[in-house]
Amino acid sequence: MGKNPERDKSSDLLPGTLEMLILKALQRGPLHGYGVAEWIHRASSEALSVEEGALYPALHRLEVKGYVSSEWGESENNRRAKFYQMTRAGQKQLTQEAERWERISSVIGQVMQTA
Amino acid sequence: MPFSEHFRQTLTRLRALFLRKQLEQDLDEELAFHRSMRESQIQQDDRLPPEAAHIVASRTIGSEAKWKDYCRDAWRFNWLEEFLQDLRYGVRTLRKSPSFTAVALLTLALAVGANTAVFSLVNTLLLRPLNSPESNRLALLRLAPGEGYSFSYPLFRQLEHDQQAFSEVFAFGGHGFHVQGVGGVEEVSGSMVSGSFFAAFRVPPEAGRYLIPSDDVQGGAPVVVVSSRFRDRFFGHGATVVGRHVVLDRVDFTIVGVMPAHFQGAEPLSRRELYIPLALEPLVDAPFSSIAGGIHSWWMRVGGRVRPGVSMEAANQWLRRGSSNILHRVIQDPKWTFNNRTRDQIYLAADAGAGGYSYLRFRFRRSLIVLMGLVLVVLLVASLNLASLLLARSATRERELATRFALGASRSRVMRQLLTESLLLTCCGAGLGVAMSPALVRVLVAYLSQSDLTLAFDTTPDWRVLAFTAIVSIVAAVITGLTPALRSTGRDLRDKMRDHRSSVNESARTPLGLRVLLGSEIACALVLVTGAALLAQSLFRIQSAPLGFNPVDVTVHALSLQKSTRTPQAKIALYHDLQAQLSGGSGTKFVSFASVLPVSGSV
Repeated sequence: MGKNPERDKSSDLLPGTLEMLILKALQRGPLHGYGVAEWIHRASSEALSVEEGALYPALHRLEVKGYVSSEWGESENNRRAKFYQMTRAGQKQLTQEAERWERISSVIGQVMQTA
Repeated sequence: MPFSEHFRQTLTRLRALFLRKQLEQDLDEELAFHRSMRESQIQQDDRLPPEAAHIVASRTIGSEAKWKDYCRDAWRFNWLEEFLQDLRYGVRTLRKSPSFTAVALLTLALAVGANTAVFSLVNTLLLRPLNSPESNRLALLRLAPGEGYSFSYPLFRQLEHDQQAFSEVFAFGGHGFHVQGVGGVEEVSGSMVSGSFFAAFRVPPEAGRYLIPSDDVQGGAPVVVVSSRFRDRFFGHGATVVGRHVVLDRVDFTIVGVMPAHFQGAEPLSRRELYIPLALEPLVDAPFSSIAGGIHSWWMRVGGRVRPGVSMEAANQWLRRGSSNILHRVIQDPKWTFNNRTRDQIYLAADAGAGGYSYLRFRFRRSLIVLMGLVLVVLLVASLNLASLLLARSATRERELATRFALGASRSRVMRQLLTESLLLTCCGAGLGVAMSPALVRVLVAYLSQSDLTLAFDTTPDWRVLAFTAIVSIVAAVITGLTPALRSTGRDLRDKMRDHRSSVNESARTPLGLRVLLGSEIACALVLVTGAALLAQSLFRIQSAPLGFNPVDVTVHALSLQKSTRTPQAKIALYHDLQAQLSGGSGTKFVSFASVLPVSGSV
């Protein structure tokens, strides 16, 4: 992320948050990589666009860690696509990450609001 | 990361190792799908023709190769595969410069070979414990202060009778037995041992029984315990010998037991084949007797096994307390002295005896330690030398390294590669060194034993030698590889590349690390050269020292009438006869006899 200086800086994410966002995207059900990117883009009101160079490695890392599993299936336009599905370990990880995120953002928010 | 998760990931990666092709296909297909989705979306959103959409998509997606590489990383044992990659690259680089590789390998092989060889000897002579259960409880007794390991018969008997700190106290004295074999008389190295000797070592006999205290009485039946080697040589392999007879020093002995090959006795470096009771010494030493020599005849070593629950210090304290009583009983003459000390000034002491006894140890300990130090310095010099060679070489590789940095390699990555190269070099060198160390050991052993065939140097490498060699090789690898790796990946080089500045100014200022490297190399080399020069000079002096006589045209013949049954008068007559006959021969000027030849001892 952010390796290309010409890109909009707003798409930079804090380290570790991308994996959390991916898990969040997969919470509703299986998606292919493109679907994950689209979901994050839409859910952030088009503020975040995830680079392919970051998205796919992150998905593969999650797969090696056992937080998601993958399966080849048919996409909406009838093409073979690799679908990712969250595992039970992934669900647990998402809950933990979300809690952590909540805590950090509220603390940082509090600090920033101090006069 | 919890262990179970770590384990699971390792399994996943292991599986991926075998499904590499499948993984690559999946990756390609996944990207192709993503690209087509992106293109169709761009077509829709921006109303572009497919070709234009393809170009736009390519631009947003960026370097495909790079992100595919990141994906692969997730599945990899990075370190392992990178290491293998570095190794392959290292082999290629080394093969490109064969003369450098040959010099480097030879240097390291010599250094590691010498270290392994000398350490094998240090191990055999100074470190390796006896082949006996709980060898750490074995002790070697001496008369303190000093290194007086000799004992006399009455002193040992009194000690054996009085002591309480040891479960067994034993004495042993070497003896060359003249064995009556089929083909004539042969001298075989053996030992005269006290009754508790075998019990103390806790090694059961292979056949029959070992000697016990009731055998060790003056006038007792002549019995002998033989080694399995002796049995195989004199009676045939695996023969039943218990109860059979053997003539030793003209006395008929009955074999009562056979000791297994792994039994070393108290002298691990001496190959003792025959063991007779200590009290039978007058039988084999006839017509003389060391026992009859009493307190004036010091001819045995004494050891013991400390009682369970008694420490070596406690045993020493007991010996110290009991010394005066024992010495006063044995030595009635108050004017008697030992090393200029009276009986009141000396006491008994026990040293750790796990390594057993060997005169070689006392004779060569200091030289061996010095030699070990010397070869370690040689190793250091070799490593430093190689480091500077590598450093010189890395100067010519600057362009290659700069290219790697330019392509985005991190410093640690390039360093790892350089270290892998030097590791490869040192491992091969060390392997060669280990391969040639047995030959070096043979040379050293031949020097130490001076063709004394009764010595048994078992220098087969054990875990100590292997561990030592491993450590030595790793140290060599680090010394050899680290400095050049640090230097050639340092900021210097990278800045130089970035700024395109001339390197003339830079190299005029030698960095500290390099100066330390060169300094220590020269220091070590100087120490070695000085040491070698001193050694050579003393050798030269010994060689050139005048003997005091002219050794040209002198021949020496050895003759022993010690075991002859001739009367003393007959022996003298025989000597006269010999002299007369030899003088009569043509070309003989003088014939003379001597019990000990001039300068026949060690230099």
